[in-house]
Formats: sequence, C-alpha cells, structure tokens
Amino acid sequence: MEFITNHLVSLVVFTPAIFALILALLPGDGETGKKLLKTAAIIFSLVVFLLSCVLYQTFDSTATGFQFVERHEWISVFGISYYIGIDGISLLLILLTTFLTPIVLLGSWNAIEQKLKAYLCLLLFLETGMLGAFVALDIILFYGFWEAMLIPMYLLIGVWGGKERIYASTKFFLYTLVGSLLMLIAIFTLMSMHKAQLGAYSAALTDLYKVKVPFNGFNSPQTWMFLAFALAFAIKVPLFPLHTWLPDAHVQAPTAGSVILAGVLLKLGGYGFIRFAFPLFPQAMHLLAPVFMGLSAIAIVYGAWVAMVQPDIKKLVAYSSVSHMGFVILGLFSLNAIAVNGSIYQMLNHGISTGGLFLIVGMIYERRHTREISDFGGITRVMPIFAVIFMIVTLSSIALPGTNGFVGEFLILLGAFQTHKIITIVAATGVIFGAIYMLWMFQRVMFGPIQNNENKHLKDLSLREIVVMAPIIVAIFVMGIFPNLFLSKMDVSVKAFLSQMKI
Amino acid sequence: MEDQLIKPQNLNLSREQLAMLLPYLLVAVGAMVTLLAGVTRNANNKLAAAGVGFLTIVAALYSVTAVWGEPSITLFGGMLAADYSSGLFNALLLGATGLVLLSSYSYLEKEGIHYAEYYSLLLFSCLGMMLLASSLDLIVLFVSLEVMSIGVYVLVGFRRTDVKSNEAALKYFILGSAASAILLFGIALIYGATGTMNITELAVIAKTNPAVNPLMSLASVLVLAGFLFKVATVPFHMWMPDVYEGAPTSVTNFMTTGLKAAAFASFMRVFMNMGFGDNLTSTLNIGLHNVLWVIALLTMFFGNVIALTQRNIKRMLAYSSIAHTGYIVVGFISGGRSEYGYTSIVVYLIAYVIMNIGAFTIVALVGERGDRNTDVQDYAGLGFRHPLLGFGMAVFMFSMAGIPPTVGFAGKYLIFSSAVQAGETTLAILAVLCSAISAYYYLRVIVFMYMKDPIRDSRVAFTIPVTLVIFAATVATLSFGLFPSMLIHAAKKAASI
Amino acid sequence: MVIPLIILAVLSVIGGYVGIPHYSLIEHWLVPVVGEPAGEASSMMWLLMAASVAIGLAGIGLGYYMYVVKPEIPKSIFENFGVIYKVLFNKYYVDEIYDAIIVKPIKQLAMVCWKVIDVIIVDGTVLAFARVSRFTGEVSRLAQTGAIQVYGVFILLGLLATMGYLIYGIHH
Repeated sequence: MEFITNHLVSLVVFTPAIFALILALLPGDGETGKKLLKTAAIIFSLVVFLLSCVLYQTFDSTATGFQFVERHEWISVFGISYYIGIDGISLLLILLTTFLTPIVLLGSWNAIEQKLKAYLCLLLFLETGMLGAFVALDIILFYGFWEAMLIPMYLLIGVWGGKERIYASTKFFLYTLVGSLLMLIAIFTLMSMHKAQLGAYSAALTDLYKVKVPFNGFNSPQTWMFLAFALAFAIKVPLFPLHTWLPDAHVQAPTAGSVILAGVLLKLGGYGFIRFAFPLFPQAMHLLAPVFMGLSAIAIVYGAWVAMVQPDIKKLVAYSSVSHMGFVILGLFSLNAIAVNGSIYQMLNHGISTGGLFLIVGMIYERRHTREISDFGGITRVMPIFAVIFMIVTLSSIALPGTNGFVGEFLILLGAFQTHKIITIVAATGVIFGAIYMLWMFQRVMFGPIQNNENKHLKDLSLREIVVMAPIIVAIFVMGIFPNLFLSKMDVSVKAFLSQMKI
Repeated sequence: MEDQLIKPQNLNLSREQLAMLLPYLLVAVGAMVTLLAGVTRNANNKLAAAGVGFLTIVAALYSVTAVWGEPSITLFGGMLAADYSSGLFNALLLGATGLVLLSSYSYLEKEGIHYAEYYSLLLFSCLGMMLLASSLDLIVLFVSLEVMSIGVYVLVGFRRTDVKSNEAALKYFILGSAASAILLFGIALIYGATGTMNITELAVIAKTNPAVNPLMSLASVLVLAGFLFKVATVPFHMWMPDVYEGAPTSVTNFMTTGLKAAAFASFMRVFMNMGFGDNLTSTLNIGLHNVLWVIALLTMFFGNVIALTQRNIKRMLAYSSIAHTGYIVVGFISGGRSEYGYTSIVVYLIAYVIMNIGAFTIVALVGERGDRNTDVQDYAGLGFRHPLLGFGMAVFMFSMAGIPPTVGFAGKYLIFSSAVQAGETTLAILAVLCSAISAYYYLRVIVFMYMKDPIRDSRVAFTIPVTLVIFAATVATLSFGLFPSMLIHAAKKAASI
Repeated sequence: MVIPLIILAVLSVIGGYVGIPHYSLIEHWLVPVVGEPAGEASSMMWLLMAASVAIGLAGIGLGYYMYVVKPEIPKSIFENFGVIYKVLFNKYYVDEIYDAIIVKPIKQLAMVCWKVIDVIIVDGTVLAFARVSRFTGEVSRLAQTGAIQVYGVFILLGLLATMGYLIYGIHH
C-alpha cells in the first residue's frame, strides 16, 4: 500500500504501457480472441481511470506546489532526473485523458477489424505518452514523452486512417517535429544558461524557473526562446496560421485517433504554455501577449468561418477545434485569474464535447460510410436517440448555458475583456459564428425530409454506443452545472501560476 | 629525439605493453589463420574461416576488456596510444566487425559469393581500423589507414561477376588512393614544417607557436581533406553512394559502421591533440572552424535532401550516412569549447554504429540474390508480416531520425546541446532543421512497412546469427536510449586527452 | 413549429428566473473564480424588471384578444392596411434582409478564407517547404552522374576552395 501511495503518479502513467505489453502477449486470433483483446483493453483502461480517480480523491486542493512528487536520478551528468509530480492543472488533464481512453476503446469496438492487437496496444502506449507529458517536471523527460507520443499517434493515423492517411500522418509528424526540434534548441540554451548562472546542469523545471534569461525587447534571447517554445506549443494547439495539419490529421484519423487528438493531444499545447513557456520566459510573454491574443482572436473567428462552409462533418468539427482552442490561447495570454481558469476549463470542455462530436461522426460514418453533410438530412426521424445525444453535444459545443462549454467561454471572455477589450469583442463574435455553423450543420444533417433513400433504414444507436456516449453527456451537464468540482481543484495552482508571472 | 628512433632496444615490450598490444596481435594472427582456411580447398572451409574469425574477435574483445581502465601508456616509443580512448574504440570496432561477421554468413550464402577469404579481409581491415583509431604517429596513421582501406577495396568488389560491384570497387580504389595521396602529401608537409610526425609533439609545437605558418595551414588542409574523404563529407562524398550501393550489403554494413567510426576516431585524436577545437583565438583555429562550419552545414543539408529523392534503400542509407557525418562534424566544431563537445562525437559514433548495423543487417536479410528487393517498395507490408523484424527496423529508423527514447536521440542531444553551449546556436538550429528533413525519408520506410499492402509475397529466411544481430542492435538502441549515462561516462573518458 | 416554441418559452422563463438577484439558485455558481457580484440590486433594476414583464404580459394579452377572442380583427387590419400587414406578417422581412446583407457575404468570405487563405496561402506555404527541399534534392543529385571524373572535379574544387580560404582568405 505504501508503495502505491508513494508511486501513485508513476503507476497512473505507466500502467497503460505495462497493460499494452500484456495485451501484446495475449492470443488474439479469431472472433473470440478479438473480443477478449477488446474487453481486456477496456478493462485495463478502466483500471487506469480508477487509479486516476484515486489521485483526484487524495489530491489536496488547498496545498501549493506540486504533489505526489517523485524524483530519481536518471542521466545525472546533465542533471536530468525522473522527476514527476502534479498540480491542480495537470490533475484535471490527467483525468480527462484517462476518462477518454476507455470511451474511445469502447467506441472503436466494431470500427477496427484489421491488426486489432497493434491498434489497442498503440492506444495504450499513447495514453502513457500523454500522461507522462502531463506529469513530467523535468524538461527533458517532458520532451521525451512529448516526442515519443508522436509515434503511436502517427501509426494510428497512418495505418488505420482514411484514404489520404499517409499524407496526413506524415504531415502531422513532420509539422510537430519541426516545432519540437526548435524548442529542443531553446531547451539546450536554457540548460546551458542554468549551468553558467548556477554552476550545475539541471533539467528540473523548479531549477530552470530560477534562471534569469536575458531580456531587452524583441531581439533578445528570452524572446527568441519564448518563440521557440511557443512555436512547438502553438503547432500542437493549433494556433492560426500553424493549424493546417489538423484538418488533414483529423479527417484521416480513425475515430479513436480523432477523439484522442482533439481531446488530449491539443491540450498538451495549452498545457505547455502554462507549465513551460510562460513561467520560464515571463517578460517575453508579456511583450508578445498582444500578438498572441490577436492571433487567437483571428483563430477563433477564422476557424468558425472556415468551419461554416465545410461540406464534410469531420472537417467542420476539425476547424471548430481551431476556433475553440483559440479561446484557450486567448484566455491564457490575457493572464488574469478568471481567464486562465476559463482557459483550463475550456481545455477540458473541448476534450469532452469535441471528443463527443468525433464519436458521433464516427457512429454515423460507420452506418453510411460518408461524412458529406449533403448526403444526410432528416436523420432525426430514423434515429431519435442519436438525435437527442447529438443535440446535447452540439449545444455543449456552442456553449449553451447549463452545459460545460458555457462556463469556459464565459470565463475566458470575461477575463480577457479586462485585458484587451477590442480583441475580446472580436473573439466574442466567434461565439455567435460557433452557434451558426454547428446549428446549421445540425439542421442539415438531422432535420428536414429524408431525401436520400439510404438514410431511411438507418439503425438507431446500439446499447454499446449509448454506453459510449453516456459518460460524455453526464460530463457535459456535471461540468456545466457544478463547475466548482473542478475549478476548486485548480484554483490554488492557477494563483501560483499567476504569481509566477508577475515581473 | 634520440629515443624516438626505431632501435631494437626500443621494441622491447613490457608486460603491460604486451597486454595492451594483445588485441591487435590476436586480430593479426586470426586474419592470417583465416587466410589459411581459404587455401584448403575443403567445402567446409567457409564455416571454419567464419568460426575462426568470430573466435578471434571474441578473444580480442576479451583481451580489450582485460586491460579496460588501466592507466594509459604508449607503445613503440609513442607511436601507438594505449589509453581509454583506444580501448573504447577497439571494443566498438571489434564489436561492429563481429556483428557484421555474424550477419554476413547467410548473406554471402544467399548471394553465392561465399569464400573464406572474406573473413580474412574483414579481419585485416578491422586490424587497420583498430590501429588507425589509436595511432599517435602520422606514418602509423597512414599505414593503418591503408591496411584498412585495401581490405575494404577488395571487399567492395567481392561480387566478382557483378558489374556494379566491380565499378564500385574501382571507383573507391581510384578516389581512395587519390585521397590517400593527398593525406600523405599533407603529412610530408607537416614533417617539412615541424620536423616531427608524432602527434603529441606536433601538439606542443602548435600550442606554443600559434602564429600562422602558411606551410602548416596548407598541410592542415591536406590532412583534413584526407580525413574528410574517408568520412565522406560534402564535397568529398560523391564516391560514397555509388560504392555503398554497389558493394555487397554486408560490406556496406562494415564500411558504414566500422570504417567511418575508425576514421572519425583517428580524426578526433589528431584534432583534439592539436587543440584545433579548443579556442577561436589563433588564426588557424578560426579558419578551420569556418571551413568545418560550412562543410558541416553542406553535408547535413545535401545528405538529407538528396536522400529524400532516393528509392533504393541502400542508397538512401548511404545519403543518410552522409548526413550523419555532418552531425558528427558539428561535434568537432563545438569541440573543446563546450564541456561535452568531443564526448558528443564518441556518443554519436557509437549510436551511429549500433543503429546502422541493425538497419543494414535487415537490408541484407530482406534483399534477394543479386541485391534485388532493396527498394523501399519491397518493404511494403513487412511490418505486419514479420512483426519483430518490422519493429526492429522501425526502431532503427526512429533512432536515425533522433526520436526519443532511442540512442539516436541521445547522440543528437549531446551533439546539439554541445553546439549550443559552444555558442554555435545558429548551426544547431540549421542542424535540427536538416534533421527534420531527414525524418521524412526515415518515415517513408515506416510508411511502406506498416501502411502499404505488400506488392508480392516474399518471405524472409531468418537464421539464428542474423536474428541475434538484429535483436542485439534493437536492444542496444532502446536501452542506451533510455539509460545513456554509462555511454556518456565512457565517451567522456575516451574524449579527454 | 409549435413544440420548439413551447420548449423555447419554458427555457426563457427559466433563463429569466436565473437572472433575478438573490432569488436565483445559481447566483453563486462561479463565485470561486469570478468573485461575489459587486453592488446591490438597485430599485432601478426592479423597476426595469417589472416594466419588461408588464410589456411582455401586454403583448400576450393583445395576441390572445386579437386571435382568440376576436379573430375578425386581423382580417379587418389586412383589408385596411394591406402593406403594413404584409410587412408585419413577414416579420419586417428581417430574415431576407439578414440573408442579403450579412449571411451571404459572410458565407462568401468564409469560402475565400477556406479555399484561398487556408488551402492556398497557409497550407501552400507549409507544403512549399517540403517541395523546395525535394526540389533541391532532385537538382543536386544531378551532380551525382556516376562518372568518376566529375567526382574528382568536386574533390579538387573543394580542396582548392578550402586551401584558398585557409591560406589567403583569413588574412583579409
């Protein structure tokens, strides 16, 4: 028991990988073998979810600093250590990750026939990669997880994706890699500054926070290093104009890939800003905040507009991600308590509601093998349960009060308005456009007469699919009505973050 | 000066010296014994030759470990170093040769070019490499370079009836001889300028007398060019893709790993001793720095962009090897100006050897008689047909691309972080961008292995030695990637004078 | 259209209730983040609330009177004030005006954003990097002719450039 409480975070992070290895050894031939594999994977991921719930329960939301800290020597010549721990912000993102994984595993029950075992293993490895990136307090450890997680995602898109999967997966990989490699150079610069200023190598975040990175305006090391970090994270978020890998990756990825990509991977960008780019380079961040706020306002409106004219539902949802994640960046860069809380909340929301939307698109795609909006119409008549669920998720995505989406966007706009009024007003129009493209899409897909004969005999959701969607629906309302369940957990961490950012 | 002359009494070896010399002696004897196996016209002579060869390497490796960490001494009146660096490189080169030897057997059988002399040539070459990596005298350096090269010239043309193989051997021989001549000319000029060929003495002269001597500058360029030819940097690289493609795959494997590592080890020893990378105060150092800067950049860039266009996997790996050379040259540029500058070279070389042996062994295994089946397309669907083979190749490709947690990342980490520490941030940025380009063609192998359906059904015939080699390389790539501390410590020790 | 209207009506009652100071259950909904609402509800607020409720009730009353109690009134209005009735019946043509001056231009603009900015400019720039790398590769491999003389020339040029630089270049 002692061992478990002392290594709880490590357990949460590495259990999926260990389970993946076990899974690889299980026999997986024939129908029963496949069922066994799928069931095992779901049970494994539920175990991980339960472990993270223990984490949530035992987390002390009043304490400052990192909790469940573990530190072991690793590559001591460079001061690199296995150094992990969580605060309120990473706690919630861990929960999001472990929450979504069993859902996508259950969601892809019928979708994957080929190479099933590899698929399940990769998803579990991916979970370890993402969780590791959320808990790492050593910058090289973080980088390792950050890069290593590209591999399973790359393979998920490339092997089980759609027609253009190779193009999309390669683009995803290379795009992300370029950003990360430049960040790596900034990390090296930071570490050699630490060595020069404090006399020893260290990659521990708590040590690196103490480094004074030279700053005097735009052309100074701090600004360049901030930009290098920001590039890596902005690509991941993705922030306009670095977003073009996203529609391709999302559309080509299998449903589970899209859900994880939108639900968790994009959050790593926002998380990276909070944990690394901002506190390491506060002055550069203040200097460039207007630029990034402006870009995020553009992303919000631009993403919404482009989403509006998409003929493909999945691409529409992909562009809506650009818009929604724009809010996250807007809130972060406005740097006040309300907006930052809102941003983190919005990250969770986006994970839930966009994840839900991708699942829904997957369900309808499995039935009709098309995602063109014009192929549908009047689906409500044949799939009433589906219609209700789809409606709820849609409303959550357009941030109707009472759903989770409202809390995040409301807080962000409220906070950002105090920092930069004009940009916030522009961004606020994004809320309206968000409602337009979602409702318009919903109307064209679900209402009106059934024009296409193939749509007449669509089966409504099966029990499995309802079970897949139920947690998401519950989360939408719980997060919308009782936001304090989550906001209270991160309050102290956000305050600590903001005090770090005072110059 | 007097005791430097080769007199019989100077050749008396003490016990320690003999112990240090034992690996070289063993390999030399082994090579000759193996040669005898070829003389017997027995049908089993290949097996015997391979067995003797392998045992020789095992014995030599053992004798290397027996004197591991002993205080450094010199042999033959300061002509040969016996220090940590030579120990480490001897182990690396012997290990590489051993793995190549293991993977060669079935390959040569498949290609129908199995002769006992192959192993003898391999061992002679290996001896040259080991001597090259530890030579402290320019003449010994030259002779060992030739011992190494001549063996490889023959090996490249080992597929006697194949035009491509012959062409490759001839090209390599002509250009290699020209490069040797350039190197030798440089050595002669150095002797003319300083009156000595001993590297440690040269170092003293270079450090106490930093004023530019035009003769010394010229000599440095010529020696530099000789080395740069052997390691294949732009613009001295053009022989390499042709030779790599034409040579039997197992020989390519040997060249890309052992030969390059030995040439770099020797280059580093000279460079480090002469203090070329220590500072940017003397004019010669600045000049060499600038020259290497441009060469490193060109090598990384052209190596990678041309590799993008290759479809033959051997040729692609050849260009990729050129690009890797470029990264290693970055290590020379940061050199003594950062704490782990030279260490990064050693780490990268080890990483490079490990992942290339793995990759080329797989290429040799998948290839069919006459070196067919070596296009990227031929790897379609391989990943799921042979999961472990595919996994190994994927690990090597990701390692070459420098993705954690592989040894390739550890190598790149050291190279780039040292460059940053030495103040070469611009070069480091350009280097990572080149490395991003390289990811594309490494990924293409993965794309074919995992994301495309096979065009025809071809089975891979595994043998135990080959499986062992691939397994060892995969495990080493991952474990040194996850826990590189030991590697870094050893490299650090080897990279200090 | 009746059922959605009923739903909306119920929701709007709830929505209105949510905003009543001190009587709303969710007044303290986001308190940890936003803080306690500043200022007290003034009498002006109550007055406005009362007035808007009164106007709403008056509208409902008028509608009930016109369409349920005396249905002949709309008919006589239609006969006497045809144009006004038509304008009112079509909700002042608000939908049509919106469509012409807001919806259509935005849709067209959005199309431009997607097809031109996103696909051609933004993504095109990204792909240009890939194409340039590949193109450089294709061009520079042309030097790799296979002729050993060419290789020799390159080696010689490299050697001369290096020597020239090291012997003459660095002194200037």
